[in-house]
Amino acid sequence: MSKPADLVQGTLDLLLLKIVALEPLNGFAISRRLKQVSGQVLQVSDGSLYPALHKLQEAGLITSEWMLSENNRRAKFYSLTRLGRKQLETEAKNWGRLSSAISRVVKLKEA
Amino acid sequence: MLESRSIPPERWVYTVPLRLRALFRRRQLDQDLDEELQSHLEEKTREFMENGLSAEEAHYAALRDFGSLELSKQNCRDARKVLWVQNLIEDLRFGLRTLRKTPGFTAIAVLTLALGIGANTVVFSVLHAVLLRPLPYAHPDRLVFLSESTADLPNMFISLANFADWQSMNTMFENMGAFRRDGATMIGRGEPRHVLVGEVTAGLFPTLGIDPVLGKNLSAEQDKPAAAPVVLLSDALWESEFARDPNVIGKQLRLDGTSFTVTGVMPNSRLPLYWRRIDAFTSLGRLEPSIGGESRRSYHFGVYAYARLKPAVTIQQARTQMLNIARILEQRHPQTNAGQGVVVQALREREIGNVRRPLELLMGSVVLVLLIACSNVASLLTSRAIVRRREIAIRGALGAGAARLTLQLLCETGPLALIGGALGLGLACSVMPALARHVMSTVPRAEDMGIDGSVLAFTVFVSVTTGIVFGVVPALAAYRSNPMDAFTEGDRSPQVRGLRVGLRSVLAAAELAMALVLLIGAGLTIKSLFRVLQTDSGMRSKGVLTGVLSLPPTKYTSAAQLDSFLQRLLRNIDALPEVTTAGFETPQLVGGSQGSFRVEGRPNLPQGEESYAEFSSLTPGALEALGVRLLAGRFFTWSDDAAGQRVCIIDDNLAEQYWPRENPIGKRLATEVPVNPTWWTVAGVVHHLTTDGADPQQLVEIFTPYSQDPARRGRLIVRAREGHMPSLPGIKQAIHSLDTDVPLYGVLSLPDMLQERVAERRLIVVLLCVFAAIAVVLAALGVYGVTAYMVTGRTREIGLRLALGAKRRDIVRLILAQATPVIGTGAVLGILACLALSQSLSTLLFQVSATDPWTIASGVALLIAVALAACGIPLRKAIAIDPVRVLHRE
Repeated sequence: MSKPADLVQGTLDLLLLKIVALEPLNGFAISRRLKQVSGQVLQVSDGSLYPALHKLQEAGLITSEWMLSENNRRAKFYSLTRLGRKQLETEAKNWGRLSSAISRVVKLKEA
Repeated sequence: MLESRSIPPERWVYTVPLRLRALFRRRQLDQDLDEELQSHLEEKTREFMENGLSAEEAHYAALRDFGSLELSKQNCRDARKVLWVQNLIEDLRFGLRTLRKTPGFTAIAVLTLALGIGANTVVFSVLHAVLLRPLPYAHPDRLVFLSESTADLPNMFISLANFADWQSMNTMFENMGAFRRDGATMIGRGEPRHVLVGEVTAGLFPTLGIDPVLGKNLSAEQDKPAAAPVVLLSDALWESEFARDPNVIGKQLRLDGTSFTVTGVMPNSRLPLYWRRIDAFTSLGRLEPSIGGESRRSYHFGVYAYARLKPAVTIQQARTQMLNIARILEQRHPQTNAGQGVVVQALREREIGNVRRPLELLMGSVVLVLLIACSNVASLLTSRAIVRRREIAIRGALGAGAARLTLQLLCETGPLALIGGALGLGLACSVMPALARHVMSTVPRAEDMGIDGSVLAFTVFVSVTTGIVFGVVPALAAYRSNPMDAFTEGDRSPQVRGLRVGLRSVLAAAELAMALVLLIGAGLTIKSLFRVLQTDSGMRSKGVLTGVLSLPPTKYTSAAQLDSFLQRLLRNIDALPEVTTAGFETPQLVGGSQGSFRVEGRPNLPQGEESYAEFSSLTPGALEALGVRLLAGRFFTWSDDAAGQRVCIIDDNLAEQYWPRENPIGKRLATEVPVNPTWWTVAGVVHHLTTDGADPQQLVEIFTPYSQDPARRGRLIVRAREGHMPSLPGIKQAIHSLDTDVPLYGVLSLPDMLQERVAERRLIVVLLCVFAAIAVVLAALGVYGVTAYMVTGRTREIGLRLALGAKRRDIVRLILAQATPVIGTGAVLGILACLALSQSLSTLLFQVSATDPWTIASGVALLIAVALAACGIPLRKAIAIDPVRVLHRE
């Protein structure tokens, strides 16, 4: 298995928020979805996924519920709270500014 | 930038329930977590199996992929952010368990703290009630107390004429009011009764900002000489005379034969302390024809005044202006006002100035007691912390941070301090009522003392601070040293033992020093009290009864009437079987009124620098009844009457001052010098009389015959035969057989009366002795602790020495060699501290130097004796060590 690119500090929260914003998902599905949509580039280890999710939940940004997974197993599904949605908006905006700023710097032509 | 989360204010709506859930449904959350991770692993396993792995291989692959399951769980639990609370609860449980397991230690520590905190709570509650709480008036900081002064008299009564001028000339005061305390005979329900009357100007209650609870305040019109007499009732009189009748306004009250119309009722509790016992308030302005007006500018008859500063005016500005006004009045009226100033005091200072020092002294003392108590507990904790070094080191090695360790230690000392504090509070509550009873009569505002919010806050603060400071400091000292030692050498490392003995010795020495300060302080005040009690009052007080007699002014209008009533009364009392002599003195016992005088043949002293004396007038028999020693000449007789030569009796101080080598009998002196001097011929010299030996302002005394200067009110003095007490019913009978309208009140035996004057001093002595005793016991406990520890630590060595032929005597010497430096250091430090503090103590002492060598020596001796006694028990243990058994054990 290829080593995933190290996530920029703090971006994991943004990614997780964005993914559960689309639809309620369980932890396993979240990690799979992250891999899929990032074209296998971004990946989070199982060991750090759950602490990250719990941290978001304790901050009141996401909430969880036991439901049946697509394979008919009992699993804990996470979804965004109102507070989480606001947080996602600001962080997405911040990310946009940051990334465009960085790309502008990187694309500078060397003299 | 990404990290900076803008946190919406409503966040707590989401997070608070989450925290609560985390705290109280912890088990369920943990179970949820397990299930969640389990479900993840199962999905992963299934995925691997779909990719062609066997069930077992897939299971392991999933686990491998996950990394450390436990670490992940721990991180998830950490996300709940309530870990510290759970830790705290666990630590507290552990701390309490530890305390329970060592009941002896816990009991000693808690009791020690309870004593220290309890004593502090009591004294603070008094301090708070008396010094810290604001006076119960609107903007009390703007209230001032006004009096006049001359070179000799710092707080002289005010002349009403001067007061009138102040009112019109000053611009600094919003309001002013003058008042005087007087008495009157009230004829109402039942027997005629003496009541205290406050005579006030219309401005007085508005100045203080006190409104009547019923009816109206005195109006300016009602405060004029010709106005119809009106009276404001005190709460107490409203109750006793009118049974709290709500329709009391307009009713009549007879005072001294005059009928007053009730116009209002004053709220008693809010009156200045000085007047709490006053029964009724009447107009002072009404009395102007007798005590005020231009012609009576030199009269200073019992009047003081309150004033309210305008907003933003400082007391200093008011002082400057009032002194200027005094200067102007001095120029206008050189005859009467020369050398007179105005004293402007903050009302607060006036009301509590006298008790500030003693209270601060007591507070300082109890703080010392608390420090000693804390040192004791700290000393105990230090030993424990060092015993537990190994445990602390293991915890540290397992990854507990310094903060976590400190928190854990706090969880042990915290409950200790809080339990101690609670017990101390209980102790304070149980002592307080008894103390309040004692303090009430001598300390202003003490009736308000009690445990209220501030006192409670103080106690909690003290408890928590002691718990933190004296719990953590020794503990930190214990584990700051290299943890390796704890493992390798454990308890026997000389370094550890050195630290323990060293720190405990320092603490014990400090305790001894503080105890010595208290001991010497108590000793000095005791000695002062004895000196005060020993001062010759000039009287033989045993067997003497006194009481105040007040003749109604409507019946006794002339001096002759007064004189003849008293002559007949005293003859009747003299005739009582047990009575030897009876007399009458006015205005009151010793130190009636103060006034200036001059001696014939001496140059007139410049105005304002005249000599002052205490004047009183006496019937024949008064000085004899008091048992005063006649040094020269004679006592008064009834032939020293209005028609006879004006004579006086002086005290030995005056005789010594003006006629040191001459016979003073037949010499003359003048009173009321500036206005119309009256000349008196000295007929006798008596020993100086004093009711308060420690009175700093010892004026000379001049006595004049009652018949030549009679007054309506004064003190009856009756002496009984040796071994008897005059019978009160007999005396009352003698009075009422002459006039049923004359009340006798304020009856006190002369010894009681003299005792009352030293009540405050006695109280301070008692409290200081209690504190000193607690301090010495605690310090002794500290010394005992150090020595006992030393003996236990050196049991092996002592056994070895004994086995090698050392005598018991040598062992005693060995132990004492260790204890002596501690005791010596304590004593020396204590003496030095006493010398440093002597300045602040000296104002409270009387005829005793704050560095009195005898007191210091006895304090040191007592302390050393107690400290050595405290060494006694461990010493006996050391001597009793059986070398055979000790060596056998090795």
